Amino acid sequence: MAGDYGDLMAKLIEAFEGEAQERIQELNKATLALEQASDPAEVADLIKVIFREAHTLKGTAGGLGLKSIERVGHSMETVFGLLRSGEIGTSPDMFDVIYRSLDAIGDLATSAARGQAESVDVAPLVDALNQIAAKPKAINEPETQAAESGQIPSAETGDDGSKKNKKKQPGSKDKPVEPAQESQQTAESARSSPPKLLIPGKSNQKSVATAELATAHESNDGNIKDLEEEDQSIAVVRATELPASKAAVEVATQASEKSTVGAQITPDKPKKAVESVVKPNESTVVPQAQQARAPEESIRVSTGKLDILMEQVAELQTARINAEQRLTEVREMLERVEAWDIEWRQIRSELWRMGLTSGSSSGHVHASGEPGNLQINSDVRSFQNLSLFLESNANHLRNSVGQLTGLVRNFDSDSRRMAQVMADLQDGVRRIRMLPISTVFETFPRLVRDTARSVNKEVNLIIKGGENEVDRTILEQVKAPLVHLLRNAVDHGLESSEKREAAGKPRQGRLELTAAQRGANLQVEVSEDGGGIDVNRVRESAVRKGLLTQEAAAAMPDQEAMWLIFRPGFSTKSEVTDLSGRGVGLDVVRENVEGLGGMIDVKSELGVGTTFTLTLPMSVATTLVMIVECGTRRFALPVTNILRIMKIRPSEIGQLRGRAAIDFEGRPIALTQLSSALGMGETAADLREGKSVQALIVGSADQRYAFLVDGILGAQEVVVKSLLPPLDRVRRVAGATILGTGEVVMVVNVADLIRSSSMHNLAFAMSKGGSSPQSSEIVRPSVKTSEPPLVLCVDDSFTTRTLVKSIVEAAGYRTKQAADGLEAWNILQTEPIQLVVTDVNMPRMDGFELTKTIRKNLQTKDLPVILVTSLDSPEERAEGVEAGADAHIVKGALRQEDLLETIKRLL
Amino acid sequence: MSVPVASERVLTDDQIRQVLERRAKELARTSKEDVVQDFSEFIIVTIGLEKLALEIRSIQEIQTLRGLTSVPGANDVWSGVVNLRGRLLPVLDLARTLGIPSESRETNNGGRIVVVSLGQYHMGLLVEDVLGVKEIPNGSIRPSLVDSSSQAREIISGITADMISVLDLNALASDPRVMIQE
Repeated sequence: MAGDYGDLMAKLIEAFEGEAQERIQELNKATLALEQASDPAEVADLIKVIFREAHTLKGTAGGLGLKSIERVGHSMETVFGLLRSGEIGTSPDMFDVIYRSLDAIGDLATSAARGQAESVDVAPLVDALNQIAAKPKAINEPETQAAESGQIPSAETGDDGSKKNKKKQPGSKDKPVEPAQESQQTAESARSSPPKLLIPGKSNQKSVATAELATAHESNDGNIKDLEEEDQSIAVVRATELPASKAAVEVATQASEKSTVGAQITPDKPKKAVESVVKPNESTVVPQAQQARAPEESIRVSTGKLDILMEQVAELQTARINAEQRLTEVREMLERVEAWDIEWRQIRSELWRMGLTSGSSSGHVHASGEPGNLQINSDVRSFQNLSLFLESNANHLRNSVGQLTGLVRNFDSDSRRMAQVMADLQDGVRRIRMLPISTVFETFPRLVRDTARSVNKEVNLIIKGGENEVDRTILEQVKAPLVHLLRNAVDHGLESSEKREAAGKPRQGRLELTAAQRGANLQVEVSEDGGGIDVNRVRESAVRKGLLTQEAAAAMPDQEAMWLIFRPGFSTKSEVTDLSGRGVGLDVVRENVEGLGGMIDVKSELGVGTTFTLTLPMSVATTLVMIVECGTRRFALPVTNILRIMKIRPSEIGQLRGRAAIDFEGRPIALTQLSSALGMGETAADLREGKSVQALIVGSADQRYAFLVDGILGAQEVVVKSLLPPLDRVRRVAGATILGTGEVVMVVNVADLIRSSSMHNLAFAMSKGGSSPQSSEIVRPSVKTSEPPLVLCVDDSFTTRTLVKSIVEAAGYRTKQAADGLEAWNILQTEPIQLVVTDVNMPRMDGFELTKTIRKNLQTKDLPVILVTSLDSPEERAEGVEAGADAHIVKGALRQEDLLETIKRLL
Repeated sequence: MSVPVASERVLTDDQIRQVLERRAKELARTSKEDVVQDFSEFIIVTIGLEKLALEIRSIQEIQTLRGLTSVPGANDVWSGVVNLRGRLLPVLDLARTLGIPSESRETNNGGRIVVVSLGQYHMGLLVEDVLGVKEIPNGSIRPSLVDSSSQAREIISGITADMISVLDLNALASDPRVMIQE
């Protein structure tokens, strides 16, 4: 029995841990909101919420015998009780202690749930809390509060209750040095308080609490035990529901909200407090604490079980696809049987004719009665029997064809239905694993606040897109990189308030954390308006640390040099601060992100700010991959890593430091056959044949690479399985996937592939880099220039068309315009167009169709076509490529440089 | 004297039991037990002209080779992976591992895969054909021939009287070429 009880307790404590973490999260949110709330009603609400949460936490912990949590909770409750009654004000120091207490409770709950010894000594925290509780307002708010807190309430209410308040506060102002005694005295004067609360020597805040309650109820004559021993949140509600008697007003000054008195008394104090506080965030980030508690029923399921479920669904999917394969086989069989039936019908008429002829002739012979005809006679008879049999056989065959056709039709509709259900099921299972990214973001306001305070900076954190859902695994693993980036942003990125003012920027630094869905990926941006990264300092630092030679650094284009910050062993700030890690730099962030199959990028402008962009897959259960062909083999590359799919003409391929390279977004990137990068020898189309080839531009952090492939078969959502040991250690392969046909396709680990390809490349660059001033320029066959090329802009939207036209013309090209594909095609017949920029969705003839038409026609088949689409889906890209488009630009991100760069490249 | 006579005539219960037990033991030591101890069951496979024996207790199943996908970057003793009921099974090219010349190695189809389970590893061994199950007396396995290559010598634990090489599957799994250290 004892064991059972122990088990039960253990289970309860385990459950408590989950609950406690949720409450702490709530408390963190509400406290953060409180720290910068200015609206008195909001302040009152928040204090009420905090008070209630702290009280419940304390009560539950007490019930489970978790004494330490109970003690901290109790002290916190006291502090908030005093805050509520306006006896003390807020201060940044106070908030620090509150946050530390919340952390401590969290740690204690965790260690309790794990059955470990208590990880935190709560005594100092309890002392700190008690000190806050013991401090009368005068100390917390040194200058102005006396007049306000003391006078405004009384002036505005003129009420008994607030007079009492007024009386008490001057008292506390008079004796600020002896707060403990003062409260002790108040407590003693409140005779009605139950003695059990006065635990001598333990904590004086308890006496304060008692004193407060006692004061509250002096005039009320209510049963103080009600308030003391029952749930105080109930007590609060009850108090506010009391009729607006004097006593009620008294109570309402603590419980606040409904009574106008409460609202008037509270107003200015928190506002003042906020002014002195480093503002860590905006209220947009933290929803009203009480609203956030949406009651949604949920159960806890281990991720292991979900993984198994997911695997089984994938198996089912394979089985379904196999069944579809069977259907195809049955269909083929049906075709053969149908062909057989047709053949038979043709032969049958022949046979009938023969039968009739022989029949009539036999009749004739028979009639003549010549000898030997008997034999013929029987032959004829058996022939007739045979025809009859063949006839019935043919009927069987026709029936079978009919049945088979019906079967195929039913099979087909079943299989379609099954495919639908399967897709839903797979999606459903995938979704179970997904959580809104806000579950991670929630902890950041606090983090940023603490970081900002410790480096004495003012930061305004703005969080957007928290509702975007991501797989749990990714969520868990993306937290550390984000924490690092946010801390970095506050610590290194943003300048001090003084510097900012000097630079003509608002004192408060702006830090933005944004999550948004981009196609199949989730993009998370950490952006600040700080000083930006000085690319030359990056160069210097990299050279100093021996990452590359002076010459190589100097020759490196700015963007490439910027990416050096992701190299292991790099850190721009020479001093090691407590915050941003010791030697743990952006290279670890990069490694983490790549480990998730994502990529990281940085953009920075000196004096304007820096933005880090993380591109992550949204689901680990399935991955969207692009299937490509290298010779006879197929490979899959995660779409997350693919920046662009391009058609490259041999004339565009130049040499960079002895290696094939192309120009991409204004900088040279190395070009390699995918098959040779994978160590399988060259298989892709021979470049010397003069045909254009397909290339995937892949990237990861600081590297861009172009891989040539023989064909692109399209994008597909697949389940990537890791290889079994010992093959799981093979580099460059992330795993494999089984396609619908049962075919196994290797999934390339792009980050590894680039690393192994570029190590070679880098070594090369370091040995030869800087030897010539144009080393970063591609040596390319010169493009002949005559009169400005004529560009055809096709778009059904007049605005877009005009925009494209103005951009293109501003760059010195001539233009023609068309409102749809058909009109464009007509113009192409007569005008010497040299390049087409077309929208995809258009009436009459869409962009894909136009592209296909252009490719089919002998005169126009080599005409460069740029597709401009509003949707950036890989499917669409693939379709564009399939149609024969040379480049693909997303409308939303239609930037002048991109478009012009692409046009320049293609002409 | 009288004691032996007496003992001959009258045996105590204990003595009777001892005698019976001894006899029972002698009778129980039959040739049947010898067979169980001294024979092992092997699957006999062929590669080129060679016959190989694989101990049956590590073998899970035998499959016809279909749809082998190579793994770029893996050591060339690995043929690749196959889809075994939705599981990706690594397939080891036994001919290449042992240094035996084989014609069917390069062809994707026609071979057999012997699926073995060796500790933490599950893998398929690519062979040309599977002849069947054979009982081999343990004593009849002799040390392998001197002329076999050094690669093979580690893995082949012995040879039978009818010239079948017996494979040591554990040695195979710990071969440095089979293990991939990257």
